[in-house]
Amino acid sequence: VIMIRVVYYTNQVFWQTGSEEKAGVGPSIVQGAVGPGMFINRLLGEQGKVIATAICGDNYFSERPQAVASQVLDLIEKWKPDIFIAGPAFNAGRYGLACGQVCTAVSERLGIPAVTGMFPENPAVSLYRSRIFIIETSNSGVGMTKAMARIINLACKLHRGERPRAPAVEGYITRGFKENIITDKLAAERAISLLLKKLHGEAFETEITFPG
Amino acid sequence: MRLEMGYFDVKRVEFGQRTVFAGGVLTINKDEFVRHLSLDSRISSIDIAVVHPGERVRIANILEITEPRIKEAAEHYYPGMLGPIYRAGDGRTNALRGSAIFEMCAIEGLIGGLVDMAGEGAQLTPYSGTINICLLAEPSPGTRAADYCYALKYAALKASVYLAKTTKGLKADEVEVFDLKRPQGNLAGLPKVAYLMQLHSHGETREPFVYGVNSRNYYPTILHPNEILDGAIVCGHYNISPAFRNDTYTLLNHPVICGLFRRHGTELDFRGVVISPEPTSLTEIARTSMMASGLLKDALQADGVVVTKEGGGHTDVDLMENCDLCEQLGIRAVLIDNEWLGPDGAGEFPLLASSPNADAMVSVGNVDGHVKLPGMDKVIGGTRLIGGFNQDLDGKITLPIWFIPNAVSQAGFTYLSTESR
Repeated sequence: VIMIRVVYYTNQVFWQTGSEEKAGVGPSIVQGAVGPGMFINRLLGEQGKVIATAICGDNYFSERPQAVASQVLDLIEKWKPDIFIAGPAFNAGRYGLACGQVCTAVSERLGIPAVTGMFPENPAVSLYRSRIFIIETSNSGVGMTKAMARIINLACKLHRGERPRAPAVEGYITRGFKENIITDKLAAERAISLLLKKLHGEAFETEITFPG
Repeated sequence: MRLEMGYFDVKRVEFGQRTVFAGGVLTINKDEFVRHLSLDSRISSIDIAVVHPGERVRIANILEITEPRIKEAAEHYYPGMLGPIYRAGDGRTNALRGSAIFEMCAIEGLIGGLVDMAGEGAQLTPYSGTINICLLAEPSPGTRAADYCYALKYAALKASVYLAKTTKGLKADEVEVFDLKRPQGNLAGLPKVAYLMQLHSHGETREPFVYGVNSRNYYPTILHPNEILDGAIVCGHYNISPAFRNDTYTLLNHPVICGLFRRHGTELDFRGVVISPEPTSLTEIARTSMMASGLLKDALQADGVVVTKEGGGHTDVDLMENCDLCEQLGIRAVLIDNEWLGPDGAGEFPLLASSPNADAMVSVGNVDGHVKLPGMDKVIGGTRLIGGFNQDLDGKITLPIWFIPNAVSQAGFTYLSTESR
């Protein structure tokens, strides 16, 4: 069994080096799992492990997101990861920005699965949802275990080359497009069943929605 | 009206001395078959190719598709089109189930479909599962494109009857009865459901024929569902997307009609079909929708209706008008349609028209989607697809699903849909 090599990204808060006073610290990387990276190791078990953890202060990152993401990417690339995990950022705006920007850079430039997690109202969601997978989380760290399990599940699926299923099934935030899928029922049969539900006053769901 | 469909399951098609059907094998005397189809001055030559499911074969430039059919007690089929005018839908009809006849295209100016019999593309069309008898016909010099299409149409319909004739007097593998009559009281309390079938009614090469005539010559009218299952309507589409042409094979095995029949008397009371043309002006659309919804309400007394369309985006207007007028009369409507979301699926407007009443729709897929197809061992029908696709069909291709017959079937003859990502 080949171990999945994971590189993880977190901020000063979750690295537990202090919070606001360390928010100005620049990017660095250390060997092994730090902070929530421990959850990843526990979830992966024999399948893989966190080989390195990148860290950057949120203020430092948010002042020049593109340039810093590029620096972080250089640090990550040397470890030759199979998958990359950031956050989850929950409802933290600056941390969300960092997770979204680094994941985008990793997935577009290294071509490996890069998954993060955020609360749907995190402002970074609208910036990155169409480009990366963002697992929906609660608004605080209380939901860490559940969020991380979904993040790992999706990242592993992408690593195996499988196509992710619907957002509701996988737990990610809709990326704003539709994909053709093969269902198990003929369209005509679905139409008749839908009509019967509508006629019986039961709850029904349309397959085509209009904007607004 | 009682239609008894006798299905004869075809497991293999081969060429031989005599045209005969025995033990699941359809043997065709090729010379006789070709001679029979060649009696047409618009066609200079004709060749036949047979392709079986699972073969690594790519069939390119398919125009129209039908199934071998004949009336057990007569020598004809397709009333008003090939046979004399009679009311379709009654008595015994024989079908060579599991086989299909492909009209193939040999000229520019039309749109050819593509079927891969194996690989990724095979899942997107029902015709990777049929034994396909391909008619490769060259036009005579100077033949107009539309006349070439008419010639192909007659050749295919003649082929359909010629091949199905082999079943006469034989015992069918399965018999299915289509009859709306039920014992008194059996239908009481069931929701009354009808089918509103829009027919694309433009000019030559873009027209279905109803008992032999372009549907634009009709006002909305009621047909018994058996009529459609038994050859009353023949497809004449050669110039719209192969993915949503309701080809003759689909009409003969219409999934909405067959589906409503299967639930008739148990889950619903199938009241019948209204066919309605799709005219080109808003005034005409308003008129046909008004008449169609009136027939559904007062003649068929429908509580609910499935509405399907035929053609490109402008026919969404007809679909929405029909939906609105039905809902206004208290008839609950469900619509089947394909979406137009761009190659990346991110398009904001899935249809050309919309309505708040269209709250229950079935999507048959994003027609702008693409599919990556592996190379096949053999390509028949040409190495280039007619109608705007320039990749060499000999190798791997990335094909708009727009070209795959029934991939986004507007009659609902597909498993495809879309899902948010």
